[in-house]
Amino acid sequence: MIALVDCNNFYANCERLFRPDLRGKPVVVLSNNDGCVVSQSDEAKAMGVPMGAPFHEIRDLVRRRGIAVFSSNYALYGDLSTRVIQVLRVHAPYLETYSIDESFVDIAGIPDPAAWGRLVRSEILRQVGLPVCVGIGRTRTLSKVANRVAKKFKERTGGVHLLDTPEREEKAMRWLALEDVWGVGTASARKLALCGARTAWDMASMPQGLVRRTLGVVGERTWQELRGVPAQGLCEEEPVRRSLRTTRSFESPLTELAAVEEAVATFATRTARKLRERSLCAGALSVYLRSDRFSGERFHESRTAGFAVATGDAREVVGMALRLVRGMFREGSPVKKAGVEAWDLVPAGAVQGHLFDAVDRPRQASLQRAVDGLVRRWGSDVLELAVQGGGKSWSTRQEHRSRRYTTDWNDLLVVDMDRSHRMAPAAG
Amino acid sequence: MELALAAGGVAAGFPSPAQDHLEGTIDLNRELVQHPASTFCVRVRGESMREANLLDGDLLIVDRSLEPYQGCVAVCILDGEFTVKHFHRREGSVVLEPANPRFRPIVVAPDRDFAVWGVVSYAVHKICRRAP
Repeated sequence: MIALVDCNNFYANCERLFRPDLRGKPVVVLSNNDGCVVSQSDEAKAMGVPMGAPFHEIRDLVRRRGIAVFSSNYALYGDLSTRVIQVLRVHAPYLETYSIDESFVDIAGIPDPAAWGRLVRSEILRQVGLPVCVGIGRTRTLSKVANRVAKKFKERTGGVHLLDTPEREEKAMRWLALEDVWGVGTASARKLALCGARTAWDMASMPQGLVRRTLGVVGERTWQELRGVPAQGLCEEEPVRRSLRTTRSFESPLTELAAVEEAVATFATRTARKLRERSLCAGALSVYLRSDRFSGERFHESRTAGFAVATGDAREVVGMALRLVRGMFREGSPVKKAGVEAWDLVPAGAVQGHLFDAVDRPRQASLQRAVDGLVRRWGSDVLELAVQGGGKSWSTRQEHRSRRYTTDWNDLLVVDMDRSHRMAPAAG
Repeated sequence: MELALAAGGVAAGFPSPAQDHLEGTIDLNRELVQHPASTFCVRVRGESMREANLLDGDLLIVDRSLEPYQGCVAVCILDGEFTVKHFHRREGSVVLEPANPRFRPIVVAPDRDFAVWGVVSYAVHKICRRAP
C-alpha cells in the first residue's frame, strides 16, 4: 500500500503555528510580490476566497471579514516542511518527498495501515504543530483519492482514510470529480466529459483503448493507477509537477566552498534548463547540503528563498542558489551530497509581474533563448555562466511577511510572559 | 557553536595519548537539542518568571515532543496569547503559576481557550555584555 501524507493548508497553518490568536480564524497567504492567494485556511475558504485570486480583487473582502493576510515566508515553510519529513521518517520505511507539503510513503508490510496513519498524523501534530491528512491506497493515484476523502470529511475520517476494499475504492471514486483526479487537468476532464465521464469511477470504468485515444499514454497511466495497477516511473514523468529537483552525491566529499559553489551552480543551471524545457517558472528555490552519513561531523541542511518574480532564467536561479549555499556552508564539514529544488511552479505564460521589477524580462528571455539554442546545437558545455558574486538585489515586495521564526536568530518568536496576568482576572 | 575538545600537537616520537580521545567537538545543538524536528527557540520578555531564573531577554529552548508534567515550565496558549508559566493540573483544572510574588497564579477556567504549545527544556541567559 502507498500512503500520501499531505499537510492541510500548509502555508496558512505554518503562519498560525506562531500566531495562536489566528487559530480558527480566516488566513490567506499570497504568492511572490503579494500577487495572488496561494494558500488559505478553511475559514477563509468558507468565506468564498477563490484559490489563486489576485490580491487586489479580494482586498475588499479581506477588510470586511477581517481576514489575516501574509506574504509568502519561504524560509519558514521550508524549515517546517523539513521538520514534518523528519518526524515522518521515523515512522516511514521508505518515503518520497513529492512537494513541500506532500510525501508518498511505501507502507508495504505495515500490519494496520489505518492505525499507522493515525499515529503519523498525531505525531506530526504534536511535535511540529501542523495538521496533516493521510490517504492510503493501492497506488499513488488511489492514495491521492483517499487523501481527498480524508480532507473533505475530516470530522468523520479523523484525517485518515484507507481504501482497502474494492467497495471503498468504488465509493471514493464515485464521489471524486474527474478534474480532481491527480494528473487529470481541466482540459482532460473536458475531453472525457464528451465520452460521458464525470467522476474518477467513470474514468476507471472506461475501456483502455478509449482512454488512450482520448488522453494519450499519460492518461492511460492514470487509468491504470485508478484500477490499482501501479504505473512504473510515474513520479519521473508525471504530468503536473509540483517541483523540479537536481541532486547528486559526490564520490569524495567536497571540503572547499568554491567546489560546493561550482556543484550547486551546475545543478541550478540544470534545474533552470528543466524549467524552461517544460515552459515553467519557479517561485522559490531550495538548496540542500548533506554531510557524509558515515563520517563524524553530520549535518543535513536546507535553505529556501522566494524569487521576486517567478523565473526560469539560469542567471537568476544560479544567483539565488549561490546566495543560499554561501549562507549554509560550514568550514570543516565536507559535503557528500547536494541538491537544488525549484518549486511553486507556474506556467511561463502565467507569471505575475510586478511594478518595481528591475529586470527587463523580454530581453532576459531572448538572451536565454539564444543561449538555449546554442546549447541544443553544440551541447551543454559550449556556454557556461561564469559564477559571479552577488551585487544584484533580489528584493521582493512582501508587505505582509511574518518573522523567520525558525531560521533567523533575530526573528525569533518573542513571548511576553507578563501579559497573560494583565489580561486575565487573577485568582488567589 | 563548537568548541574544540582537544588538539594534539604534532611531535616526533610517540603520539599524544590524548589523540586517542579526540572525538571532534562539543556541539551544543547535539547536547541541548534532543529532538531537532520538534525544538524551537523563543525569546521571553517580562518579570513574572524571575524566581524560576527566566529573565527578561532570555532565550528558551522549547521541545514540543516532551510530555508536559506537573510543575514543568511550559510555553502555553491562553485565549490566543502565548505565555510561559509553571504548568499544574489541580482538581481537574489547569493552574499557571508564575515565579514572582508580585504576580498571581492563573486558574484556567474550562471555557477558556488553553493549550500547551511546548515544554521548555533549557534557558540561555547572557552574562557578558561583550558577548554577541
